[in-house]
Amino acid sequence: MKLAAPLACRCGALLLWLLWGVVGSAWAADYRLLAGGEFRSVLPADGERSAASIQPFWLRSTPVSNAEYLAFLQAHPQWRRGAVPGVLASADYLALWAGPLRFSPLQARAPVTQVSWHAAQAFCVSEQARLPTWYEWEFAAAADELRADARGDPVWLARILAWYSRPANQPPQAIGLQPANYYGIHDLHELTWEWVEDFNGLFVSADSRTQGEQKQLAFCGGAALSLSDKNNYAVLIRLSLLAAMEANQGGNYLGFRCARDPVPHLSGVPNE
Amino acid sequence: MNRVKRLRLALHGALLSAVLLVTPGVLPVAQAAPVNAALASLPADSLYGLAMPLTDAQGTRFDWREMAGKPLLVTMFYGDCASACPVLMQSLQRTIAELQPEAGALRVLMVSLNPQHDTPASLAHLSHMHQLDQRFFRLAVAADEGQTRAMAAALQIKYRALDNGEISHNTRVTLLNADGQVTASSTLLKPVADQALLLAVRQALQ
Repeated sequence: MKLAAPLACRCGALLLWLLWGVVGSAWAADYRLLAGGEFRSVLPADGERSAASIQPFWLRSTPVSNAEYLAFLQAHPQWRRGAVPGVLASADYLALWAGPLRFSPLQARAPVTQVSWHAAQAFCVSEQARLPTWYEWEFAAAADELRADARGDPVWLARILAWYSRPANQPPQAIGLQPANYYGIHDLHELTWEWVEDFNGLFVSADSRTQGEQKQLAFCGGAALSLSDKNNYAVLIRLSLLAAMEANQGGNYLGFRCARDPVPHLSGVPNE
Repeated sequence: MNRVKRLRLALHGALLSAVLLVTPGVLPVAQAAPVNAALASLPADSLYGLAMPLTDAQGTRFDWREMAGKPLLVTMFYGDCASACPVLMQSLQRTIAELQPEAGALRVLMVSLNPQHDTPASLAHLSHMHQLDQRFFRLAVAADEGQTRAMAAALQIKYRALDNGEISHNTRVTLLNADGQVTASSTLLKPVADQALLLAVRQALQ
């Protein structure tokens, strides 16, 4: 009796530890709850001028790193380089990695790049998440360190814009070197580009009702011309780049982070 | 020696099945293996590299890759679409009418852009309204927004839901060969058959 009790305890603890290893690994990433609400986006919600209405959502506080992506590949062999069908990831998929399961010469804590939209979605699903929508990304990225919406500040706009003129001859540096923004989110600017779930929906007037010559202009980057917030070049550049991507392509500076819808019984519990 | 080997194998098997039972995401992969084996022979640029579970107007659940083996015309639309989609359907109906293919030689798959709204029942209603020929046309809907986006991405269809309930999208009809490779596509939006696409389908049917 005396002997059995601690043994049972130890078994219980071991079981808990095992369970945590299985369940916890999927929930290890840090997510922050953002309230959303009415938001003036560069992309009007009605195609003309109305504000977007954003539901509350959880956003990963950091982009996905090479080390995190490697762990995903270890659990999901079908997403390893060489195993993925071309429609899901083209030849540039993880091309800088030394091997299918070796991210060197890239850094463990640097954001994973050269991932296709499909691969990014699959990673997020493995975290019980999805890619953020453009509106969600833009909402979170409107904040600087102190303000929820810093987009009226020309100094800040100039700062985030300066990143785009830096030469892109080195892979992106480590995640989290810069302070988090107002929401506790890191690296929305000045580190990488990021996939959004609706990358193939980022256009304004070009649709099936537009006929003739206007139709020829569809999706050729002309979309940005009718956007509402023309001062925020940094965000407009991102929009144009994403709109020009195909889902199986990647980019040396194109990474991603994930988002989640609030689960009713989890709401109010920050960073579970 | 032999016994040790067998024992080790048995132990290995037991461990493996234990891992398979416990680890999330591993078991579906193991189950998907036969499908992957069948698809392994597909060319590298086949769109059937994308798994896409759908439900059609009859409520039948299927993966669009099951339509491999015959040429397929595939496009996306949505039920409430009052302008472009009827034109698109008319164009596809004209295409079929001009081709007069044998039943089963060619299928037309139209997938909804609006999984929150379109259901097998609404698709069946739509099919009836437009008098779509059941021998060729199959209307279907994916499980959710993410799946729908993935399908649209593979077919180079761009769409965006506007806040008035409309979905802004481009109309693109893609012709896949038996292996799922893109052999032609059409973005023409007129209530007539696209002659270039028609020619490509004709060649595919020979």
